[in-house]
Order: sequence, then structure tokens, then C-alpha cells
Amino acid sequence: MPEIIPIGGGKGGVGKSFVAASLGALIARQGHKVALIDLDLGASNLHTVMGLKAPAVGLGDFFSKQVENLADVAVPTPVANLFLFSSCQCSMEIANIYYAQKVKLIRAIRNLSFDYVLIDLGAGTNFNTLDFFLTANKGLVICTPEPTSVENSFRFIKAVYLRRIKQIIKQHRFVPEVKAAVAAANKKVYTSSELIERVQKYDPEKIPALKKRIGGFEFKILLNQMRKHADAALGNKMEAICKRHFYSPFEFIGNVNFDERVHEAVYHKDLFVTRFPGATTAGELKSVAGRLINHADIENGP
Amino acid sequence: MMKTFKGQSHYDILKISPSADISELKRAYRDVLALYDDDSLATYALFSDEERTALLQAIDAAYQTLLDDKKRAAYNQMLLDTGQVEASFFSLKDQKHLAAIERDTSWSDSLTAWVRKQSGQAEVKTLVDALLAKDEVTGAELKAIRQALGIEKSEIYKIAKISGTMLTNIEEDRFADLPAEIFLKQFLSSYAQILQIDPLHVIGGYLKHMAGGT
Repeated sequence: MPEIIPIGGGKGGVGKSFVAASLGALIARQGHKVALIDLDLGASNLHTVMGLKAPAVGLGDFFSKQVENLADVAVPTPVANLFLFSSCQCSMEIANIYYAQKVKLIRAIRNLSFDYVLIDLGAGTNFNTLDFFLTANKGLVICTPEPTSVENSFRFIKAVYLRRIKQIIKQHRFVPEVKAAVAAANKKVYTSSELIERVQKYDPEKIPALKKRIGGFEFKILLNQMRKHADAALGNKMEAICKRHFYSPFEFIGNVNFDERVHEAVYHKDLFVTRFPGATTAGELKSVAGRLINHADIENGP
Repeated sequence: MMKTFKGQSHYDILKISPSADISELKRAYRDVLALYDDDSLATYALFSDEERTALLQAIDAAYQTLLDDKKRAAYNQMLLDTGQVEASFFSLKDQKHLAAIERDTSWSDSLTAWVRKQSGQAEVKTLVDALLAKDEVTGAELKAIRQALGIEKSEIYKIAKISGTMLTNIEEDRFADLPAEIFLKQFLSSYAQILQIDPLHVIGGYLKHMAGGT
């Protein structure tokens, strides 16, 4: 099973696709086979970030059963070992995939014979995005140092957190009073702490197991487009706060500086880390990639 | 919402060891206040107004209790009596792990935020306005502002590296014990910046006071 790293973040324009493409390239250059899956359904453009024309095959063929195996829609990229799974040629209604399609795709992603799978998710907190984010045991939240982005990131984290708690309650044994709170027929919308309180009240001996399962998913936070005037300690503060107020683990994995030349690289349909390997921002991305795959900073690739 | 401070001791809330002295306590209070304050970007939109108010009240209660020696002793006794902590909690030997709690923010950051907030208070405002209205600046005036802001000398030392003795000499107008002008200007400038008063006015005013006062 590959190591899956979903990349989300709530707000649009914070650089999710940029970070996904950059990290994918940096990890692939280490000799790992990397799948880059564009699940920004309905707003897909990861191929352009990678410098590719719209691929002829993609996730749409998998959904419509034109191809049997998910791996068949992978297209090579200019970076060796890095393959793109595009959704740009999907139908205009792709943003609203069916539950069965979602389950099928998640299962297929888990069975890909790749070392790493990076999933580029769309903005917002719709259920599909949340479920794809929860495909693995960790997920990367991309945020920028602006109130709007911080606000959406927290909303995204809270939505993922609540979804996770509901999943746990649905998938495991709990007393009917707890189960009923997450049942589809239930009209009242419970918050995460209300659900935990309910377990505490009606099924207290399940609390340790519940907390352990909530803790089984780790949030990684990356601050993108950092600027000089921004608080360099913001990420550490967010990590500290989240650790204090959620039962999930959190890790701030680094600042990535804003660089004017990212625009230039995108304009030339070239990867920033390829075009400007010596830039501070490229160095920071390498360090983040290293932390994500749990070893020392990635050195310059060929 | 999520986890609150429920069940946490005052020491846990402020993330300090039971042996923390007044300057560590003040620092911790300002650090945690800067994080939970409603203009903190790190918690922007994370809490509802209600939740934030409850958290800030808990932080304030913890601080006010630990700041007062009598209240703090009574609180420690209560922790012991109710079995919330063992006696070893307060013995120096066992405090290494607590003292090692990492600080999440830089001291000067949270002090800056603190001074900015306190500067809006009437008492501080009156003192600062009076100081800015005059050409001469006395040590006593600076001291009064520092105290109105609730800042300890040891805190000034930790940020600006102005020793307690030096600060006392400045605040008591002991001109004979002050360093050469070039160093004095640096000290005054750092001090004024911490108090968030125009450094040029403080330097010029203090030097003028020195020239007239000796």
C-alpha cells in the first residue's frame, strides 16, 4: 500500500496545486515512484502546473469504466518517477460524484503500486473533499498567513475532525444513544464536542478507544506564501493551539516563502523547483518534502 | 467546540512550572494571552466569542491566583488536599519536565502585544501624554509608565539586556552612575521601544533633564 498524502486547505488560491506538484517532483527525484492525483474535481488544472497539455486519459475513464485499473490512467510527467492522474477531461458534472464512485476510487488509490500518492484536493469542505482527505492516516493543510486563509483552514480542520468522529462512531460499536446522533435520519447537527460528550455520557468506557482513534489521524500544517512582515512563528502557534484543543496530533512542517517567480514558472508551464532550484522557496519545499516522508532534507536532484 | 481548559490546573493553563517566579509567570501570561486574544491570527475564527471569553476568563483567573502569594499558597494547598497533585509536584527535583515545556512564542512578541493593549488604558495614556507634552523626561516618569504597564525590571533585562542596576540608575536619575552617553542613548532607546513611546523624545528629553539637573 502506498503512503498517501492528501493536500487540502479550505481556501482557494493558497497554492495547493503548486505545493502538490512541487512536493511530488521533489519526492520523485529521490527515486520514489509518485502518483499525483488531481481531485480538485470540476476545477482541475494540475496538468498545467506540471507543464502538460490536458491529458487524453484520466479519472473520468476510470469512473465511466473505460479502463479497469486506476493505474491505466496515469500519464508520465517531465519528472521521472512522477505520474499524473488528471481529472480535467471529466464531465462537467464530475464535482458531484456518487458515493459508490468515491468508495471505489478510494479503494483503488489504496491499492496503487506506487511509493507515494499525493492527492490535490479542491477548496471548500464538501463531503467528497473531506472523505478524500481522510483516505490516509495523515493529511496536509495548506494555509497562508492571512485571516481569510487561517479562518478557512480552521473551518476545514474542524470539518475533517467532525467527519472523522462521525466515521468512527458509524464504523464501530457504540450504544444506540450515540449511534442515533450520527444516523442519517437524525435532524440535529451535532458538533464534535457534543458527540464526544454524548459518548462520555452514554458509553463512557468507549472514551479511551474513541480518543485513540481520533488521534490516529494527524494534521500537518504548511504555511505557504509567507512574506517578510508575516509572523514567522504563526505556524508554531497554530500547532500549539490545535494540539491543545483537538484530540488529534498536529505538526507544523514549515514556512514556504512567497516568490514572484512562481508566477513566471507557471506562465512558462514549467515547475518552479525545476526552473529555480536555488531559490529560497525551493529549499523550503525540499525541507518540507523531507519532513513529510520522514527523513533528512532532500538534496538537489538531477 | 473542542477541548477546553476543563480539568487543567492553573499551571497547566499557563504552561509554567509550580516554581515559576513572577517574571516567568508574567511572560507565560502574556504569551498565552497573545495566542487567545481576539486579534491573534493564530486563533482567528477558531473559537466562537463565547468560547474565547471562557478561555480568556480561565487564563485570567489562573494568572490572578498565581500572582498573589497568599492565593497561590492556598491554591497549591488545595491541589494537594484534593489529591490533584502529589507533594513532589512542588519539589524542585521533579520540576525539570515541567520547566522544559517549550515556549511557543517569542517573549518580545507577546510583550509587544501586551503593551499595545495596555496603552489604551486611561492611567497609561495620561502618563504617556504628560511625558510627551514636556521637553524634559525624568527617570521617575519612565518608571511610572513601566509600572502602570505591569512590566518587571527582569523582563526588560531579558529583552533589551538592560541590567536591573542600570535600569534603577536610569529610573532614579542617578546620573553619576550612568554609562557613557552613546550607551545611555542605546539603553534609553531600547527601553522606550519596549514601552512603545517615541525613542527620540525619550532620549532627547532625558539628556535635557540630565543637563539641567546636575
